[in-house]
Amino acid sequence: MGKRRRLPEEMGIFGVLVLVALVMSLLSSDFMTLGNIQILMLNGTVVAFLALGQTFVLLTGGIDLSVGSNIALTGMLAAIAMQFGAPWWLAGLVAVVVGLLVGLFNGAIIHFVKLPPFIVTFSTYGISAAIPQIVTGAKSVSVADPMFAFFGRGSLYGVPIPVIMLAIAAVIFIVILKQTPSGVHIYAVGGNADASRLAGVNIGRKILMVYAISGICAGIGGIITTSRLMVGYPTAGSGNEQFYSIASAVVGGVSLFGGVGTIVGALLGAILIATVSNGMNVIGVDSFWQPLVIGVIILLGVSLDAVRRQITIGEGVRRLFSTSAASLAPPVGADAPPVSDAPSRSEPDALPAPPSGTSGFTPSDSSNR
Amino acid sequence: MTEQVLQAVGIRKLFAGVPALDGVDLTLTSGKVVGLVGHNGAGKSTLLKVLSGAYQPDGGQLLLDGAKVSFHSPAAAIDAGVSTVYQELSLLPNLTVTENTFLGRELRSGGRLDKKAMRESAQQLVDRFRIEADADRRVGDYPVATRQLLEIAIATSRNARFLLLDEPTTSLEGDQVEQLLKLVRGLAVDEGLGIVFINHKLDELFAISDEVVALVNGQVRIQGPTDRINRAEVITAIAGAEIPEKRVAGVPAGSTVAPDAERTVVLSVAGLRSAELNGVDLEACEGRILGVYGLVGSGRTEFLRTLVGLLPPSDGQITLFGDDYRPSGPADAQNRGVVYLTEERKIDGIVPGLNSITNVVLPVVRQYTRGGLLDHRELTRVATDLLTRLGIRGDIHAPVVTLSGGNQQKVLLARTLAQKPRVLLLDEPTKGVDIGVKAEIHQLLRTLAHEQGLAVIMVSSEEEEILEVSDDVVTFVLGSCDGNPVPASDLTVQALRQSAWEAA
Repeated sequence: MGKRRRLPEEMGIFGVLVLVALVMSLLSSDFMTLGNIQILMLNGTVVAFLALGQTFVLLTGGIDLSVGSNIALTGMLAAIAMQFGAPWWLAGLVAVVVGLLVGLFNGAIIHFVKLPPFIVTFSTYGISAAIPQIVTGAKSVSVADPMFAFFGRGSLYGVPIPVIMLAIAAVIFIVILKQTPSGVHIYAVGGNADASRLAGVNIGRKILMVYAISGICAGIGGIITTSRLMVGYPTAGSGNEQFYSIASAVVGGVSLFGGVGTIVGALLGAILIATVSNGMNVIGVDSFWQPLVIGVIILLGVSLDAVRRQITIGEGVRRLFSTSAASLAPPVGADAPPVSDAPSRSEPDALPAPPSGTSGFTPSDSSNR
Repeated sequence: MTEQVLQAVGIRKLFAGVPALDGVDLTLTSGKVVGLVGHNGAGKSTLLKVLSGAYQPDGGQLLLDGAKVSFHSPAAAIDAGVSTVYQELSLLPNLTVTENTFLGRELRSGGRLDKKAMRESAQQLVDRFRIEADADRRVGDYPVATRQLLEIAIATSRNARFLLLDEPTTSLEGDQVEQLLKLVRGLAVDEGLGIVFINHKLDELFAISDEVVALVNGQVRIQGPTDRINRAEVITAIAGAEIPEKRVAGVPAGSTVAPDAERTVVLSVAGLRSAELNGVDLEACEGRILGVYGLVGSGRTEFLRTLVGLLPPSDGQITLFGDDYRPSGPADAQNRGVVYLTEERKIDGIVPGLNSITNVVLPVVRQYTRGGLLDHRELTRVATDLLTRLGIRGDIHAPVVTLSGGNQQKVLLARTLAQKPRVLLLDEPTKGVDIGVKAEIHQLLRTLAHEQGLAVIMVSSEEEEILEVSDDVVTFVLGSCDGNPVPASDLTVQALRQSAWEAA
């Protein structure tokens, strides 16, 4: 990147996260304990998984409203599978495959019937919320196989298994988005679908792919939910998971209009939201305050993001050290990854500021990191 | 009619400390047209925005009939009688002509909208300008050309005494341009408006203006009565270098000419029909540029899009390198060596948020992977090489939308080259780029065809461009093309226009 490199996409949200964590630990000495951090992460993983899948969908300019009830569908089917004698691993596979199929269904209808994602996934939301209730007569199904508890209750060196799965998924997703042709194509489809089509990008395949990934993430969410309770609830995921997954991604800088955002941002967004709800529990705030506070945080996060996008590193440094006259000094420190020797470095800064919602994503970008 | 004068004196305007306008004087007199030319970025549009109240000058002043004025907003300028028509159409397509005419100053009678009076008044306006439009119909129902005329008519309806026009003919062609020029001329002569007319096309500019002003780097370089200004001098000044002036009669202006060896037909189209095409026959040859001329709606764009599988043909035969060719889409066409450059840069050209490098390699990223992962170094090298070769100016690591239109066009050209085409289909390759970049692109096309042996098919609505760049020319009329190429050297602008309009 040349000297007009922008602040890393995720800086704003990271700052807010640190601030919230600081405030929480000042308000309650219980907050920054190992036990609580474990609980926080564990409670946040389902939303975080959904947020990662949601990120893929949002990057193409779509939205997936079906993930919440997809948790119930996949979690229930896993429990039912085990009732019918399936081993724990097969039950897990069932959940993931069902999630995948729901995603493929969403993607296929959106692409081939050319319907708005909002309508399609909202319909799927209803369908996948109803199926488990119909199948079980709205009764819960308990899981007998103790091995299945591994997904939700197990831990490795004190780190909960769901958190480990989340970390692995995040790494895979980052590689997909930054290091593969499909990643470039996903950003391109969200940035300008017509141009992508003309450039030979197979848009249908990308649409199917992102909804499939979102479905798989919901399936894993279903496994974790059922496994933690060792009961398949037909109404699981009907709470805040859906809303929070979109909120996490958006707070983390993923644009609702497509083409902009990162996995790291969405992950930070999910951690922020988990921190806030956990923190409020720890300091003893009534639970009905939570949506209000999270709503305010979303507004703040998105507003900060909008402001940040207008500020280049150069300007940022100048503002920070406004007393120094030599303000054109190249940016230093963590904000400034190695600068490639672009031929454009001598360009005057007279270019118009890009409209908010432009992405700094480049293939060379990630190789610099 | 009393003479009125709007003067800009020593106007300065800075952006981030860089002067965009550096002491510009300009005088608008009622009944006169001032033609304003200059490079993209020379300050033409900035000057217009200062005159229209959209920008506040950092130095200098505006004088209206000798009295100092300052326009704090576009509304203030309009109140003072200064109306502006920008390059982009600003009428609301979902409202009717009447509603657009009276937007924000609706007539009322007894608290309710006086629809009848507004309708009549709007229809009178439209008729007075001889625009074929119905005041009750939505603006979006009309073609771009009509909308452009409506823009001007409505702009002048607000008691305008001065009219500022920013490249009003960009999206028009042929007789539409003439109609607009006539309209503008009439506004000056009959209605006594003082007009500024920005245009890249010197033919039109010289045809219409009383005075020519050339801006270079925010300063007035040439200023004088049109009949005493030399065109070549203007081109030299604004391009900053000698650019080949359009040839006078059949003398190629380019540095290279297609070798007159035996022609190898690479792409041959016979009886191609579709929803928009009525039988197209033509042949594209290796190492030659085939210019495709025709009116808007004559099927040229649809033809190119059919050749890359974006539109389905209903009948006809296409042969590519001797084999049957029926592409399923752009990716398939690319595999066969056929690459298309869109006319609509913003609609299906650039991906605005991605940087220039990614935009260039977008169609070919799959070819630069190692073990399934992107080879970022190689991708960057390939894109940078192409962009450097095309003389890109600007930060190629920044979102492509931050580049100027001409540089965005270079990014798209680099994208077509990255696909290693053997047949290059270009749709208005120099639309909306300045004279300097235009000459560079023309030179590139000649090199690609004449030295690297590509078969190039170039659609253009600019007669001068067709004549200057092509080796052979065919004309589309109402969706059909007879496929008889005429050597460009045998053609004149008049002959071209005739061929397109005779049958239309």
